[in-house]
Amino acid sequence: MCTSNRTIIQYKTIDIIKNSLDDDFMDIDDYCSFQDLGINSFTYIRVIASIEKEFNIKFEDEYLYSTAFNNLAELFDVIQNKLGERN
Amino acid sequence: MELKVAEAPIVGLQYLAYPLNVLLNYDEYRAWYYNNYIQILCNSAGWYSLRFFIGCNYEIPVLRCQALEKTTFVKMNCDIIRVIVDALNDGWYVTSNFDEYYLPNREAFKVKHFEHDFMIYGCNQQEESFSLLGYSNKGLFEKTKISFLSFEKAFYSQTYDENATFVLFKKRDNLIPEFDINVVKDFLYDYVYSQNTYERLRTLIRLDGPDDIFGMDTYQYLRNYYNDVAELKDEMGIHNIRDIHIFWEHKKCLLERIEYLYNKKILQNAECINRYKVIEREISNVRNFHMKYSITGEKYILTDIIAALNKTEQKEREILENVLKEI
Repeated sequence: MCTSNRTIIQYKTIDIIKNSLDDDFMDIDDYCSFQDLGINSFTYIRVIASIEKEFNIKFEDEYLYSTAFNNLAELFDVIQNKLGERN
Repeated sequence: MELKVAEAPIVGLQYLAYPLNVLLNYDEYRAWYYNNYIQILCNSAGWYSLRFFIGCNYEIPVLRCQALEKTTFVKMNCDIIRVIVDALNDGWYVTSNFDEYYLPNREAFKVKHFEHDFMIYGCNQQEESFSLLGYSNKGLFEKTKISFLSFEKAFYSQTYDENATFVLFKKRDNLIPEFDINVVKDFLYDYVYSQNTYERLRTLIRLDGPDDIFGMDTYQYLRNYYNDVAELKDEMGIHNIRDIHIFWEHKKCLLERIEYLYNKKILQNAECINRYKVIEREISNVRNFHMKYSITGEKYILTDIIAALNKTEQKEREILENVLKEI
């Protein structure tokens, strides 16, 4: 996906991931998996907890596994759906 | 040269992983693995003591070992690099303790003196480096390298404790272990009914302490721990995930054994496999909750953990009592 087409939600999520990896300049593609990004289980849960706080949503237990999403695009969809349900 | 290293199903404590990294290279040793790693214990007088009922490498009968106390080894004043290179060339894996302050790719590197165990499985004499296995600064149990020079500094650092050992080990060639259903039954009985397994071995070895608890009573130990965290009696502890990680590895081991018993037609009912998969998943969830609490500090997570442990304990007991009846 072209990064210029990203929504605010996607930008904020990617910022959270970059912050958790302490790398503001890394290139993140929407079709990267968390494993591709070298994110371990602890960092992954930190990302999920930060997303919950940022968007005031809660992920179900099964989303606490880094294998729950094949790529970031799937994560974006789940966040979008949760925000949609809330509104 | 590098000796073979198999993936270990238990890595929560390095000393538990190393023998499996060696033995599980050989299919014929899998039976011994299935006979063991069924019982767990911990010390109720403090946290971070949960472990499998199994010794370190020189206490494992299917391994051939040459062990010395590290203080004795150091007094011998031999060329440590030469000793290890020669041992590797003869097929010996090497374990001992060193100071991770000198070890790149470790959290303690140039930050703090931290004594930890290690296993060397290879060397490169051109590069003058050893290949070793342990927890890296990425939080992963993985293969890394250390130069001979840094290794010497780490090994001879003054921090090591007097109980540290220097051990060369490999699998025994003259022994092919067999799967023993009666041993499995005994260990499983002891786990389900929280029996002190040392009682069975009292004429051989007795390493239990007065505060040790065994088997399913460890659920209460974990609940007490999370209650203490909730009451702020343990401020640092939640960051230490080791107990719940080992508890989860234990569930993975028991699931593997139930599947093995079913595949060997000792267990006829496949339903217990699916039911135990739920137990393994629930404890894996608890491990995730633990990490989440350590990040967010949200108290509701501790309540969820304790509730999950209560629920899982009852279900696990029921499944394993049925398994015991059937085998």
